[in-house]
Amino acid sequence: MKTLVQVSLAFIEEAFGKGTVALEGSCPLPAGLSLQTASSVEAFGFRFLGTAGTLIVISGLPKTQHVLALAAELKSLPAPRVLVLKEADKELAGLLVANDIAHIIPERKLFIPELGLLFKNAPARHERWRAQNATRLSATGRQVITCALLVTDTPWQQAWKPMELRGLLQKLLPHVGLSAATHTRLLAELVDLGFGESTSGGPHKRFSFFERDELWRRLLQVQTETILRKVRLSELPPKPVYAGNHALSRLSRLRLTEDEPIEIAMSQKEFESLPRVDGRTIPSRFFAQIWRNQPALTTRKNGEQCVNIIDLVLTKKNTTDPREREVLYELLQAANLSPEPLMETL
Amino acid sequence: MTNIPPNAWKLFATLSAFQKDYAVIGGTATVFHLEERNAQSQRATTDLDMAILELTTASDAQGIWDSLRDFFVSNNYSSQCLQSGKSQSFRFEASEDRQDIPSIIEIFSDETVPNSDRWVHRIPDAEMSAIVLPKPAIELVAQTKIMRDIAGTSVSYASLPSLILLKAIACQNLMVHPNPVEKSKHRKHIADIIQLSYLLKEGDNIEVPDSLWPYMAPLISEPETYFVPQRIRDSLWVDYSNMETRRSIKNLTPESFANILQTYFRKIA
Repeated sequence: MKTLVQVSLAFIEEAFGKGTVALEGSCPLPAGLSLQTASSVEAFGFRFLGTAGTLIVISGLPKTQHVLALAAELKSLPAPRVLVLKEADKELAGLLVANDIAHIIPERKLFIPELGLLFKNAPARHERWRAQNATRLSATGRQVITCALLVTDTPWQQAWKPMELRGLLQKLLPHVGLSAATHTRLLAELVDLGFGESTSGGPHKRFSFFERDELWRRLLQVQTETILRKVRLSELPPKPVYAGNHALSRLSRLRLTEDEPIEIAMSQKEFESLPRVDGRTIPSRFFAQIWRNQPALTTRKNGEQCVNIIDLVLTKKNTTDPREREVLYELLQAANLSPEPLMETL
Repeated sequence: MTNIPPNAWKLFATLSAFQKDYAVIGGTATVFHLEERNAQSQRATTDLDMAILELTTASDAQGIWDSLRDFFVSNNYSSQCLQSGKSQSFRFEASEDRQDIPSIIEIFSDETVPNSDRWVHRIPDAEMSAIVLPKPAIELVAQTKIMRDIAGTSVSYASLPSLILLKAIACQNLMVHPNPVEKSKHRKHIADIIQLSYLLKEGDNIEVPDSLWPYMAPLISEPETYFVPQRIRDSLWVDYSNMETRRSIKNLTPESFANILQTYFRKIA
């Protein structure tokens, strides 16, 4: 395994090419460093574009004040003295730049003001976004996969022309509003997250979903955005869509306790349209789960509208109550979905 | 105070003349005990498990089978077929729109007429069958059962320690079940054992027949397998706003439950 200094030297060479010569081995520490400051420091020489310098490798994750104290002592010395930090939080990184302290965070950042150098190895914004969301399925993506799992009379496994698929989804999820751009992003997201594959490009481009069992297993593996927040309501709105344990008790043989809260699901937009009341005076047991999208493909049982089984499982997948889990398994079996991926989440 | 679940009134009223012949077991009996000891009521299902204590075609027990059959017929209960094609007539399901009766009723009895391939035995005269429980377990339930009159309706249910024993039997059987979904059901029995053991008090001691001891012994000798700390916290439905309760729950360890069970359950030869 490479040491931090080897990684740093490789980073310097990679960033600036052959002008850098890395001289491995320890160098005498600059005079003037107190023992206390130097206790966690190793120093290595390097030559950059003809200028000799010293890499001061700080091991561990030092405190901001220690780094600044060390840098202040190094500042009076001639030639570049560059701190090497394994990582730095936003505050420390900001202070280092503000105080003109030369530093390297290997593979991410190089800052040597004496030489007028600043190099950042940051990915483009859209790549960062994709990296951050590599395992997160958007609310729209979740609804599309829910359709593929619940609307079983559609041949989901066929190779779809993107526009045909968009037409179908617009029929099934009219409230989502799928523009051509949103739809393109959605398909890229589904491919990235392992729900389907895209073949060729241009007019011959086709998208196909993976098998139903695979979709279901994958849906439970990725992070999904379900409930944004929960708020207490003074009363239920007309035609509520029941969610949480209340929906579970309606759809299964689970019995609620007498004082159990009654949960409904609604979109942020719907919630904002409700009349405002003073939150401190609300004594009710009604709660709203605020979702990013309107609950789709709801199911009706004994005259009450409830969220569908997939959404219900996703919002309850972390429950440790054995009876709640038992009825969730039964509901999945009734929907021809294997309970095993859900069992693996416990 | 003990309350009867709203969907169980009709059934108990039907069986009120046969109080000595049956005992409610399972989650509904657990809820009875929790309410009786002022513990917070826990999650339950709308189904009902019932042990028939008198055996099959003996004339004094025939009445309960006839009453049960009439109840199932008049309320349109159905029993599904097993994969083998045999009738699963120990598990009766009500139609989904009925809120006034138990959604599922399961009948348990002992192995006097065993049919080992299905673990059920048939009661010919009643055209019904029952899930087999060991005979000593049924006898223990019969000896210790509690009979109450609640708001004019007679109810008979298993005593708290015998209920723990039945849960231990179910738990051990399910833990070795080949089907992972069935196997996972052992967790609810452990949760119930945790909740019920916590309520045991002086006078609840019970002597366990030698043949049933293998079901209890692992709970005492390997408590860390069953009573993991997270499961203890999840299973105990208590008033967590009470500082004293919170503190006492925090101090509970797997060994605490092994000690409780060892105190109240004693093996007899």
